[in-house]
Amino acid sequence: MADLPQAGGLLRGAGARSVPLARWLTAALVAAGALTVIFPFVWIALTSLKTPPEIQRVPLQLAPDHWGNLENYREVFRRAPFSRFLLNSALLATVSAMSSLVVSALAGYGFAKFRFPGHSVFFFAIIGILMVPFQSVVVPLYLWVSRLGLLDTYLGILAPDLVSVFGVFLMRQAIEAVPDDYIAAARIDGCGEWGIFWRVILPAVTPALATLAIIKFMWTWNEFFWPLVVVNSPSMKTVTMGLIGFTNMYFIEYNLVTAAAVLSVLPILLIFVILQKWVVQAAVMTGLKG
Amino acid sequence: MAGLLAVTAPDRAPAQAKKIVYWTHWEQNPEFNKWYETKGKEFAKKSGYEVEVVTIPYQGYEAKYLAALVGKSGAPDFFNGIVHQWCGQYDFCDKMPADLEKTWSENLPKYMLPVGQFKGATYGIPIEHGNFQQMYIDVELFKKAGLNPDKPPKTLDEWLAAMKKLSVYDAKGEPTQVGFALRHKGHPVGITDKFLPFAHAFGARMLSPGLDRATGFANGPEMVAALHFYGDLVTKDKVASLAFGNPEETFGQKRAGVIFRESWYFGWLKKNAPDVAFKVYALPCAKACPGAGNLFPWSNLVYKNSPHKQVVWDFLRFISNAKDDLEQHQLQGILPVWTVNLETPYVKGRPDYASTREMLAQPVPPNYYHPKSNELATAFGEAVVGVLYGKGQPKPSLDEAAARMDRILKD
Repeated sequence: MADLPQAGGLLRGAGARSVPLARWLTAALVAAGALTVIFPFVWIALTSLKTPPEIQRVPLQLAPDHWGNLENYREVFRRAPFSRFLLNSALLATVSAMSSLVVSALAGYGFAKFRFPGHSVFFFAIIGILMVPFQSVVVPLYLWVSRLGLLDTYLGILAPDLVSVFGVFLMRQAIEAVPDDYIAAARIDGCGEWGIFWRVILPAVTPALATLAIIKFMWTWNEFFWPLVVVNSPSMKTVTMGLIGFTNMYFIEYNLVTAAAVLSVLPILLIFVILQKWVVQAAVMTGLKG
Repeated sequence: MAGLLAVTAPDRAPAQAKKIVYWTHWEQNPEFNKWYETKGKEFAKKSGYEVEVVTIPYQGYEAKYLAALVGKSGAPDFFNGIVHQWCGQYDFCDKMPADLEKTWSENLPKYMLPVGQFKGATYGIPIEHGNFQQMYIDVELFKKAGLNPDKPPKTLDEWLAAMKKLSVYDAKGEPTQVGFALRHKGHPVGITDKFLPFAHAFGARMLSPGLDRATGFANGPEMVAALHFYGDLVTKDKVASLAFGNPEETFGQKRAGVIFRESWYFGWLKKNAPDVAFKVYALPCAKACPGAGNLFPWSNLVYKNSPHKQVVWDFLRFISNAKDDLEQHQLQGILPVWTVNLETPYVKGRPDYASTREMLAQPVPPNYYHPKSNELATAFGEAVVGVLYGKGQPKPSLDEAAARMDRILKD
């Protein structure tokens, strides 16, 4: 019996040691994960400060010879109207995100809180669109946009991006979680359908809206294939088209493509920093991963 | 938002300007492309039509071409493409007028004659010379290995012996420097393209002369021997390594003594690896010489549904002369197309002058200008990759590839 307190003390001692150890391990794992994610970005940023021979040098070195070498950035703007590409992408991604928010929130509300004939069929038909590869509809879509005279215009580029099927699904899931009692209470208080949507539903799903905004902004920002098909004028090109311009059929101009990549990542980072609080909330709330 | 859209509206040409539109995916040649617009201004004085050049990123250019040419809307009046693809696999091209056909057939090097043709008809004007591989050697590494950089290997046996001298190994026997910078990654079509000079040197060909059969050719005894030789470079002789990255960079980093590449490569070397002293020579021969051949015959094609196709032919006629050919290619630092220009001071001053001459003097190797050349070269390239990575033996891998290629040809 005399040993018991000692044993307990030992256990407690082990426990006391194991807690910080577990914390250290967790912290180390998180740090390793973060480094793995961040390292490519750091590498890209550092490469953008190197000359082509520095990039080719063996053994590879992380740091550039001259930290203040911004020649690649200057060359990016000399070679192409890159600021125009950034402006185009920002405009297109903003309009696409806003439009998707409006349509998805309304459709999501309809599918989540109203029952009408064919409700499930319509919903699954819309979700089914996610399964159709975009490449398979490019030619018909091109013909449609062309006949409307929208080739090489902002509206032409935006056409397939004004509505988001994923957004409809996301908002339906988020709005379904809003208790029906809130809606009933609002109705009893004399609120109309628009009032309920505006004053009850939207405030309750702000994190999901923020998530959709950032995801849609990012998708449109990163889109390459459709703009490539409908854009001809240099002044209508987007950031992704500008980026790919430094990769030709023979070689990649790493110094320029990395400088352009840094420029193209900055706006996305900014948006994420502004909206990250809601994005995390929404990820927790909707069970989204990845 | 409407205001912003208006402010950022694209720059449009004045409505009265008449233009013929040219599409190209040659982003690596901006001066070459721009020349069409410059020349178009001169052309406009007599025709009223200028030329607008649209440069399309290489990644995905085929999808854009296809959408526009199928849609007959927003399509170019003429474009840079491969004849057997755009005129053969698809029927998008206008046939070349007889007078222009005569001009070009009289002024092209013999290996380029089929470049603009499909099934006997001429559609395209070849725009790229020097699109065949030549041997680049690193002068310093040659000297270090006790080799004379002024006396390059002429046969594949001599070449292999030189590659062995150029290879340096670590304590585990793995190469830290290789003789040959070998392409082993990327699209199988590219792998095929890089292997074909070896195949042709062994006297092999990928398809029958009528381009209607692969069995007996893609898996013929010469091809099997060539692939044995090629695979052994990595697995047995260890004069090439899969541990190294892309061959251009490996050579530029002085980790390989030799690379086979086209004429554009010395421009890349000068920019990215200026301290590499190199020389360019003709490829080594074995049973045959590899000769000047290519898988990607780029040419200017006229869209048959273009409302301006006659104007386009007039423009192409306007620039079809030796002086313009030299001017346009020299602007970009690439080889001109006309035979007569191959003896100009500009070409004579290039590091690939002698090797180009030598390779052009060799017999023309087989070409594979088939509408399904990409699919065929993919099937073939996968067999080559399999052997390089030790996943298969040459004979069974090529048998399988030949059967697949025959199915592609049959379909």
